[in-house]
Amino acid sequence: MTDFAITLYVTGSSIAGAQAVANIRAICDAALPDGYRLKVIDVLGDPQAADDAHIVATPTLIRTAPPPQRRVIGDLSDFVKVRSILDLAPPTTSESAP
Amino acid sequence: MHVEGPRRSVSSGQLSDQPGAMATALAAAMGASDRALLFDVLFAAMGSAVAVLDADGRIVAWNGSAEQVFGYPREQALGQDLFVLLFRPELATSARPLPDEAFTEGGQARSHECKALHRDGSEVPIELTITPAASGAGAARIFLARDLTREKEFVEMFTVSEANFYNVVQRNRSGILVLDAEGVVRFANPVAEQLLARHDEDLWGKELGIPTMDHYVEVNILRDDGSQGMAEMTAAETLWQGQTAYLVMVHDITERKRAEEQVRHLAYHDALTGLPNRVLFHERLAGALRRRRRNRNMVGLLFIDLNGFKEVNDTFGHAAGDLLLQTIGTRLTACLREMDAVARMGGDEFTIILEQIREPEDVERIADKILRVLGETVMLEQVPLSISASIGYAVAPRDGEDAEMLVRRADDAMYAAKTDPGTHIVAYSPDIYRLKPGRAQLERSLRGALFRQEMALHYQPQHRLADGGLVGLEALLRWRHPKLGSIAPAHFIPVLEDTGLILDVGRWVIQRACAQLAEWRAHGLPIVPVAVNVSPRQLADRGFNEIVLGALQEHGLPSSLLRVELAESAVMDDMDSASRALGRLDQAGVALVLDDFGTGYSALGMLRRLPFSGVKIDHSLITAMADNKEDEMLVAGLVAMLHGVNKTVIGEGVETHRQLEKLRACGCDAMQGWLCGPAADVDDTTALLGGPDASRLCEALRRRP
Repeated sequence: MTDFAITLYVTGSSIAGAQAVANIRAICDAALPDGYRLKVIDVLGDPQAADDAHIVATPTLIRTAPPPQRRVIGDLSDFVKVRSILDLAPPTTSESAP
Repeated sequence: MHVEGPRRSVSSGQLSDQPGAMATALAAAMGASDRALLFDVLFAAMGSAVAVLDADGRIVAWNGSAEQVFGYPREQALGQDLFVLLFRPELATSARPLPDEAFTEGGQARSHECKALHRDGSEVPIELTITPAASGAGAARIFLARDLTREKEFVEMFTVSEANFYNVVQRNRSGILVLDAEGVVRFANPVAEQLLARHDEDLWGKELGIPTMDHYVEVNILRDDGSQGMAEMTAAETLWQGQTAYLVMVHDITERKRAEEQVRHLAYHDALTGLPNRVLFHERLAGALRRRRRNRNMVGLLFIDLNGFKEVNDTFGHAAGDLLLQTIGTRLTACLREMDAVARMGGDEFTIILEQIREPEDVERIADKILRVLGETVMLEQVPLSISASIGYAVAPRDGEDAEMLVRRADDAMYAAKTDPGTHIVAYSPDIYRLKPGRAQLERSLRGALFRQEMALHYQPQHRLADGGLVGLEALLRWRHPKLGSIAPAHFIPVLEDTGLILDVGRWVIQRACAQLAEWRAHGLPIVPVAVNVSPRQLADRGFNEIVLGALQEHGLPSSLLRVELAESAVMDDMDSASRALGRLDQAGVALVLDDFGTGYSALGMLRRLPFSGVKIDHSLITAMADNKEDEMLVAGLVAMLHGVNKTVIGEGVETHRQLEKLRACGCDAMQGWLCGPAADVDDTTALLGGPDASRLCEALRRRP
């Protein structure tokens, strides 16, 4: 199984952050039935982590594995776009996902 | 990119670089006639306007391009002084570059921009090069002009659009970013830099991320100085220098959001305590109940009302009252978990929502804790003050699933706690409506209760412990409210006493008991003495003796059939006058019984001074003695002592066989309680009295081992 790891940076209980969390879960749950690693970081609680990752604005999602690293900003509500950026197959063809 | 003259034309430069070399090559390659033909072909095909001038500057050759650029057909141009024909006099002076040296520096042709005149009078921007056609002064020259009109237009256009670009992009109030396909910043205008709080080098070339959103998204900006901003972001896919890119617009909405947040806070919070207000409370409760249904646990809802808050306001002023409310708000918040929500509903009323509750007892424990915390001393105006509260609560789903019902029930429970003196916490149950209506309501209802015949006497049997025989009845006042049903005596008797209504009702009780005894006797039933309860207010009434003796006389009853039960407190306040009143009753033959012995003063001196014939041991001692050896010894001692001063001893509130056995072991004379029979209405009591002898015996006492 290919390791798939993403980190989502959000700020407190912002609406966009909450939507981004829900969206990425929905996308990954559908596309990665074998599991994935999602880390959600609240930049208010861990400003150092945000600094280390050079986060300019939240919500920002970083795919840390597999390489290459990919970075997305926004509420991730455009599923088609997010899947394409993260190289995730749409849910209907998840068995044949690369 | 800017265009500034003068500049070098590539073609003319090449021409001037090697004029001799090209001619030499041509001369070697072809004959004279061929050379003339070649010249004609090239001359006609030149894209630039070309004229050949003689030594005086007159036009000797004029190509097609020249005809087009300047508007003069060849016939008109030939023989004319070129400089007169194509240049204004002032321009002609500057354009007529005579002597030739002005045009050639070290043998190199120089080109420069100038404006020529078209035949129609308009100006034509040209790049002009004049080259000697042969070496030596006075030789023919070649005039070569490139039309710059299109180029000028293009440059003009470019200059204008650059200004537009500057205005639209650089000076835009919105932040504008261009990100490449990987989400790397390739361009940022000054507003974007300011908004993202990053300068060129921290932004250009840095990875912001590929934008994904439907229409727009509100993003949180992490500024370099650690502060937070909010921006509205929109993005569109575009091309940037031929590559896929994203045009991202960002609007600063930090201030707007802050203002919105402030308005929201004001709308949802109580200004005095900063706690959520009624509006937010209802939102939170709805959310808590939604989560409860998902998690399948319980939600506790507490309503808290401070006792005596009005008095605090009246005594210390509103400022102090406000301070108290703030203190209460802080304390409530401090003693709860983070997930619990405290709200101020207005006045001195607070609510608490408790989530993830496992059992209703947890809510009771938290209510206890709150009561304790609120009771801690508060300093108001240097006066230490302790405030108590009335708490009512309801638990979802037990007491209701929906918010409205839960709120009503918790509120009702709080009201029940409030109206019941001595009770601080009440859990919702349907009983609260039956047992605990408001005091004001009770008072109103009580005023007409006798008249409306809502009062009745029930009778509880008293049995001899030795053989179970019926030895007496205690008359107990009952009130059935037309709407509320039965109201517990513990709730309405204090109201009767406070309002003085007890005098009327007390008289009625004595009258009614005597009338009932007379009725039973008239029916030939074997009757036993009936005990009536008398309150301190009645005893203090000067006419009390006359009421008792008058009632007995009226119904022709011997005074031994009526007993008067008094609580210790009834005689403690004014023992002298009590002593006088009771003395006369005693002399008249009415037996006096001291009630609730063991709960109050239990002053033995009183027993000696007042003419009691019997003593009732309080049910709390009876309950305790069954489980506790010391209490059992205490009761045994009391009984022995009371027997020593010649008093009959009755145990009340006997509910279990174990209590009965202990009481019997202590040598107690009689008992009263659920074990042998509850208080019964007139019909049932009449049936008891009229039944066979055996039925009058206490079943529990008959089954003596």
